[in-house]
Amino acid sequence: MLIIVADDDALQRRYVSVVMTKLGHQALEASDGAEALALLMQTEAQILVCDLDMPLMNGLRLTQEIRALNLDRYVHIIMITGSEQNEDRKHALDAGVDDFMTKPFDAATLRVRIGAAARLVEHERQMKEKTRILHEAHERIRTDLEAAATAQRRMLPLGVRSIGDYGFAAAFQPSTFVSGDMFGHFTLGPGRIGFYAIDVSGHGIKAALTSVAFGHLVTSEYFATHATDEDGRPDPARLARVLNGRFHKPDDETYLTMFAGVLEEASGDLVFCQAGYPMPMLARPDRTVRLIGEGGFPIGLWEGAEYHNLSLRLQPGERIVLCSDGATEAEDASGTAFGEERLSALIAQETDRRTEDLPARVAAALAEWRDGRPLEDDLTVLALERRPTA
Amino acid sequence: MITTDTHGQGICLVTPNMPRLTAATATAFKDEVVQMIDQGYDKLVIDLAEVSFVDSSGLGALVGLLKRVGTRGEIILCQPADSVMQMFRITRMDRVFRFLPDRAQALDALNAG
Repeated sequence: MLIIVADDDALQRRYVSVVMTKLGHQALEASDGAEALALLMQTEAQILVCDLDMPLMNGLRLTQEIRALNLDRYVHIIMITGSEQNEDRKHALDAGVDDFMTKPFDAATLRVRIGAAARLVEHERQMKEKTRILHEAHERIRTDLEAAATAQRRMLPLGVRSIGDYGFAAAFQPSTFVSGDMFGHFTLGPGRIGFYAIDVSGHGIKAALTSVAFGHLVTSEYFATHATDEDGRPDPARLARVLNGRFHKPDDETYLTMFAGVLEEASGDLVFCQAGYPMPMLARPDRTVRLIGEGGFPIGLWEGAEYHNLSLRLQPGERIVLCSDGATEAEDASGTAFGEERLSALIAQETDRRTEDLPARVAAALAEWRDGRPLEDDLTVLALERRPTA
Repeated sequence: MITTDTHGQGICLVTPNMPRLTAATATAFKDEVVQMIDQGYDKLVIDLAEVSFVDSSGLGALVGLLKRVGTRGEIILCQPADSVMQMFRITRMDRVFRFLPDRAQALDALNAG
């Protein structure tokens, strides 16, 4: 170990150095405080043996200077004092000296004191190494998660999209990098649009694995094939039944809630199946907002669950807003949930504003409600509008 | 995490000692109740009076317990908060679980069954 020996008394300095060398350490000699300080900055030395009384810069000043440097390593300072210098020792402790040796001292004392300091230095090195390994592992995981988050976002139709007279816009915020939410909308065939939103139970990586698997499975072809009956009529309940069979596992409680709809572009007729997903809100140009749906079994939770279709006609200027439960369950500082009423009032207020901006504005209102507290659950807001007739 | 009060004939009253049955607590809750089921208590009353919030993971844990007791056993839930009941309704789990107003009625029902 590298040890700096600072003493203006050449004989004593030499003596200490020789003992250090015999103990297997490497000693660097300094004849005053300034020289010792320079050596400390040029090397990685972590142990300093210094005399209290030195010209130019004494041991006390040297200690103060070293502590003021805020080096990225700890320097153990062992100070050599005379037997009558008790008062000075108190000042030295205040300044940051770790240990003392009283003159005269023998090689055995020196060995014990240096041994103690060396153990601490070694311990610190090990801690630093552990911290470095943890930091590296953390960085690797974070980079991985960020890549996964990017990959997941790429699967989603984010931004604003128009299909004929209909417009879609969405906001998507994972609670931890990746999300158990997923949504999609696509043209199913001439004049027909399909869309869905899901929310996998729980959140984090496990939920995201399921939501991404769902996103890859449920393509527009899959949706078109399974969300229609034998005669080609919209039947999203059938899609729910098929998916329930696929996602149900007897030994796993992961399930997902889904809202799936098939929309006829010309008429605005919407057939939908609500599989446990929070009830969407239907907002009218007259500022009324009502919940749609009656509830329904989630996907993958209960084997053989029955699913039903409901229908409505979306009129020009009307919107449907889907929010995952991360919206109503968002809590303020006092633990009060945002709730359905506030969400409904918020969407009513948005009536005269553009649908394109609505999801981001809902997300912003929820962020304000949380007042800087992180999302507890994934958040998705998906808005669908039938454009007003000119 | 739970308080249990065992009665004869495999009947056990379970009180979750937590205000929120969520992703953070659901697994531990379920594991503790499963221990009781494995000891032969498969007729359970779960009193939700103290639980003000159940999230999707919490619901998953309760359904997992229901699957665990299977057709041999039974689970009766009592005193769910309005918001908790709302979640059971939206997911139709109100049709899968049996609800009774309080623990005394629930225990009577299990004793009679």
